[in-house]
Amino acid sequence: MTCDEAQEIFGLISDLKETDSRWSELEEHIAECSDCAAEFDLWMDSRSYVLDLQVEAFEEKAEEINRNVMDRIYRESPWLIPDQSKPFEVPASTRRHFSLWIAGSVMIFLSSVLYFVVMGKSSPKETAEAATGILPTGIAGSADMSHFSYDIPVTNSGIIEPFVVGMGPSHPQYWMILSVLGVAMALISLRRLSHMRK
Amino acid sequence: MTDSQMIREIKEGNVELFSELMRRYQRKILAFVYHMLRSSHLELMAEDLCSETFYKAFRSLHSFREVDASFSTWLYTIARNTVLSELRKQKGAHIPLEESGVNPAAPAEIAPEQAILRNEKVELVREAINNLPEKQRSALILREYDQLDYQEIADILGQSVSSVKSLLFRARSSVKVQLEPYFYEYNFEQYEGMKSR
Repeated sequence: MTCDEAQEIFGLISDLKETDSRWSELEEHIAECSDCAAEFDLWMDSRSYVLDLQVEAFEEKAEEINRNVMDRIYRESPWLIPDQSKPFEVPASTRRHFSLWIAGSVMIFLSSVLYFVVMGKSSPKETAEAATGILPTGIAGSADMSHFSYDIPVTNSGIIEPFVVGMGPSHPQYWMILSVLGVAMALISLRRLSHMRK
Repeated sequence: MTDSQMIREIKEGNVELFSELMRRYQRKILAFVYHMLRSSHLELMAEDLCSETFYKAFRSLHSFREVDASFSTWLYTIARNTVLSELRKQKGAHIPLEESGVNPAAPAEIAPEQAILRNEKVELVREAINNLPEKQRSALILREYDQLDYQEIADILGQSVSSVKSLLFRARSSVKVQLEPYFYEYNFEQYEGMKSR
């Protein structure tokens, strides 16, 4: 090893593994070269000075930091605080049943919405024909007069059919009520489930 | 439980586990922050900045991707950025040594003259490290005090491994050059002391 080569690795010699061949080469070199030996001592002394400033005992401080960070997290995001009042552990099967219930309720809601959208469009409009009061004209003496008849609209007769008012929910309205109940049940179940999962 | 498993559970809502995850790294990160601040006599802020580092880590945990870096490397990066940001704020506001309150106390059995020499030596090394450019200083602290390998330091500093080697070489060389006068003076005093006996 030459002096230049030795100078090049002085700065990284402390990072070399003990088994590295450059260690033994350097040792051989500094045994022969007094300048490099002095330089090597300076490098090692300055490193030991730097290492003297190392600080390790931080256990108490570290625990304090841990508490501070967790307190800050919970203070700024209170919803992340674990629920300490949890009465009992909810088994996985119960949670699964709750999930199925919620899914079923949501399905009822979606089905009812779909029903109203589809059936609401296809129902016939019950609108009365407009009565104009204009009658077709008959010609006296014509050949087909014997079997001629006037179709007088009912409204023109002065007699009005009674109004028919649908009392009570009809079939689609039961669906509406059911869907609202389904959504309500789903929301209540979801809230209860999330409360228990905390 | 590995870091990855813990992080996955924390992301799923088990926030309590973050406390456990912190315990794995808090001493290392606190030591790193302390050493980074020490050269600027700002050690008293180490705990606050360490807390800030972990809080930022918790807030950004959703963006952490293990394929990019290990959790440890990611934490060191946050810690370094937090310290640098604080140092920029404090730039120019020099805190005298006596006010920092954490000047290493000399052991009781050391004679007063030796205690003075020791404090002088500590101050010299601090000054030497503080005079280093920021990347050299970070590389030196991460290598000498935190014993990270070249690759980890490279990831934290965003440099290549060869650049890290170069940074370390220049940092150690600079510290040595700054301390040389002290070594000569100290050796001369020792030599004079031996001669007078």
